[in-house]
Amino acid sequence: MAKRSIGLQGRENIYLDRPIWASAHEEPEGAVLSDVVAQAVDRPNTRKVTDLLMAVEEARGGPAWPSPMDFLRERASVIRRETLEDLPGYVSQLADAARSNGMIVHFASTPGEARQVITDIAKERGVELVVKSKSMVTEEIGLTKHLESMGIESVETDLGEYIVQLADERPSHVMVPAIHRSREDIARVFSQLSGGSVRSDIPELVAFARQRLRADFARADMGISGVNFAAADRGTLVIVTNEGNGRMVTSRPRVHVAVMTMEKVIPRFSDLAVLLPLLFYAASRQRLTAYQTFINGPRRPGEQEGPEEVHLVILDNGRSDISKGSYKEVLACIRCGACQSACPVYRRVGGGQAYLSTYGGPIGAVLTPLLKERPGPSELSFLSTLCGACEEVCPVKIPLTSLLIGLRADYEASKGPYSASGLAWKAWGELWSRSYGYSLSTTAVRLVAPLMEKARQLGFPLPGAAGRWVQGRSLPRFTTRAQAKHGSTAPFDSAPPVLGNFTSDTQDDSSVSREEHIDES
Amino acid sequence: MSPDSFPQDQDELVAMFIRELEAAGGHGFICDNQEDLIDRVLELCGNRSVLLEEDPSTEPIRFRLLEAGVSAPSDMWDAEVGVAKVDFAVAATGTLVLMAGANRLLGASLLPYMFIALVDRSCLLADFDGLIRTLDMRLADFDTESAKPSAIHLITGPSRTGDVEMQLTMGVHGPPEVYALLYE
Repeated sequence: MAKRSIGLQGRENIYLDRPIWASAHEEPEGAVLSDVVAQAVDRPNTRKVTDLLMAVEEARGGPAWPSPMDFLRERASVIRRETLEDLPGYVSQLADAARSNGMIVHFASTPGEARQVITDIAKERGVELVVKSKSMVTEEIGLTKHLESMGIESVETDLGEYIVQLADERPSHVMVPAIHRSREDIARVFSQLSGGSVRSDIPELVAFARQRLRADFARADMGISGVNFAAADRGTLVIVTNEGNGRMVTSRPRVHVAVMTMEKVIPRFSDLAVLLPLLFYAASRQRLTAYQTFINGPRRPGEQEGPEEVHLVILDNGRSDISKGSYKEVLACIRCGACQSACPVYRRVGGGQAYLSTYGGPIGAVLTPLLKERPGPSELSFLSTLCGACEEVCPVKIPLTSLLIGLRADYEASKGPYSASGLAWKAWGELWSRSYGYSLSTTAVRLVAPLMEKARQLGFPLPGAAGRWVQGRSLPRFTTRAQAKHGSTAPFDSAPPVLGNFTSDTQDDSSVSREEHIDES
Repeated sequence: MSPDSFPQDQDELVAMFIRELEAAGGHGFICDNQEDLIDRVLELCGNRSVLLEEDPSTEPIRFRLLEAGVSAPSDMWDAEVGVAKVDFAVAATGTLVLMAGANRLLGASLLPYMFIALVDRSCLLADFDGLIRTLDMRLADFDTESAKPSAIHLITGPSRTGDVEMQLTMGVHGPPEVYALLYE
C-alpha cells in the first residue's frame, strides 16, 4: 500500500462549494468566459476580495516609485531585457552550470513532456508521496492532477495553496492563492477534513496546517518546487518563501525536482542584489521575505542533510517563440502579482479564477494566449479596462496595455479578414504604441465602453462583467480631428462608430498631439 | 540606503542588526563573552530538547547542556530548540545566513519551534548588496563543484504567512521564534 499524505487525509469529506469552472480538476472547456465573469462578480466573497485588494492598492500610496526602488526598477528592467535578447543562450549556460554543480537537467518543450519527465523520475525512484511548494509552472502543466492519476499523492504545502487544493480550486492570486476564502470558509474546510471542529481563528488555522503538513515533510520521498530565479553563471536556483515550506521541500525529501519556465533565468548571480529586493517590494512591500533558499545541487560528500538528487526541469511551451516576437516583454515578468492587485477588473471579479487560466490578471491575460499549449481562453485580453495601472506597478516595466491591445487585434483578426473590431483594435494599438499613448490611461474606460457594447451586439464573446463594469459610467463624446476633416468615413459598416475614426492616416501622423486626437468635451 | 550611509563602526552595525531583526519579528542579544553566550543559550533552552550542531566551537555549549540535563532528541523532528552558527549576518536587514557543509545541521534552523543563531560579530556585513557580492565571490572560488555548498539559506525573522485574509501570522512551517546571540 502506497504511502498516503496526512495533510490530505479526509479530503473526500470536504464539501466542494466552488463553481465547476473554479475547479483544479475539471476541465473548464465549454465554460464561456463572459458567463463565468458574470458569475464571479456575484460570488459571495467577491466583494471581500475587492476590498482586500483595494486596501493593498491604497497602502501602495500612488504610482510613484520611491528612491531607491526606482533605481532598482530601472536596473531590473535592463537586466530582464538583456536576458530576453538571448534567452536560449542564457538557458544553455544555466544548464551547463547546473550540471557541473551536480544537478540533472531536463528540457521539456511541452507541458506533456514536462509531466512525463517528472513522473518518470518519480516512478524510477519509487516515489510514493510528494510535497510541493508554490509553483505556477506546475499549475500550467497540470502536475498534481497527473501525479494523482499515477497513484502518487502530491501535497501543496504553501498555506494558501493547501487550502485551494483541499477545496479543489485553482489559486486566485499569485501571492495569496486563497484570497477569495474567508477565515470562516477555511475553518469549515479544515473541520470537514479533520472531522472535528476547527475554530475560525487565524493562528489556530495556521497551527492546524503546520501540524498536518509536518508529517508529510518528514515522510515525503520527493519535493517539487518552482524557481524564482536561476543564475546562469553559477548554476544556482533561488526559491523564496515566507512560510519556510520552500526550505522543507528542497531539503527534507531524498529527491528534489525544481521546475522552471525558461525565462526564470538571470544572467548573473550578482543580479539578485537588484531583483530580490525589487520582487519583495513589488509583491508585498516587504524588504525581505523570511526565507531565500539558494540551491547549488545535491548533498555533498560530508554533508548530513539535503537531497541525494536535484533535478531541474526547464519548460518552454512556446516561450522561445514568444522571445523572438513582438510580445517578448511579457517574459520579463518576475511574478510579483502587483499587476493583479492593481487591476480594477481583477479586483472586481474577485481574483484570478474567473480568468479560467493558470495565470490571471493583466499578466495572465497577456501570457495565456501566447503560450503554445494554452492554459486558458484566448480572449482574455478583453478582461481589462486598459487603465494602465498594471504598468505603473510593474517592477520591470512591461508595457502591458500595449500588449493587451495587440492581443485584442490578434484575437479579432483570428476571427477572419472581415472582423471590423479587429482592424479597429489594430489601429488603436498603433495609437498606443506612440509615446503619448500611455497618458491616455485615464480615458481608457471611456474608449472601451462603446466598443464593448458594439462588439457585444456583434456577437463577440466579450466578458459580461467587464461590460457591466463600464455600464452606467458617463461616456463623453469622442471625436478626432480626422473625423472633422474626412467626415465619418468608417471603413466598414459594422465597425463600432467610435473606432471607425481611427483610420490609418490619422495613425501615421505622429506629430498630432493627444489633445488634437481626443476631444473630451 | 547608499553604502556610505552605513555605519562603519562595528558596535553600530551590531545595533542596527538587532534593530532590524526585531523589526522582522526576531530577537537579538549581545553576549559579552563566551560564558555569557553559553548562559544565554541555556536560559533560552530551558529544559526543552535541543538540536545542536556538532562543531568544535559548540562543544562547550553541548557540555553545559548535558550538565544541565538537557536532552538531544532521538528524532530531529521532535526537537523543540535548534542551535546553530551562522556564516554571515546582514545588519541592514537583520538577515542570518547559513551555508551547508560538513558538520553543519541546517535542520536546526528550520525544524524546531525556536531557532537560536550564534553570530560571531566578525560575520556581520553591512547590507544585502554586500551579502550577494560576498556569496558570489565564494561561489566563484570553489574550484570543484563537490566543495560548493549544496544550499545557502537566508533567514530574516520567524516563519510567517499572510495567506488567511492577508493577516500577518507568525510561525507556519519554520520556527515562530528566532533569537540571534552576538558574540566576539
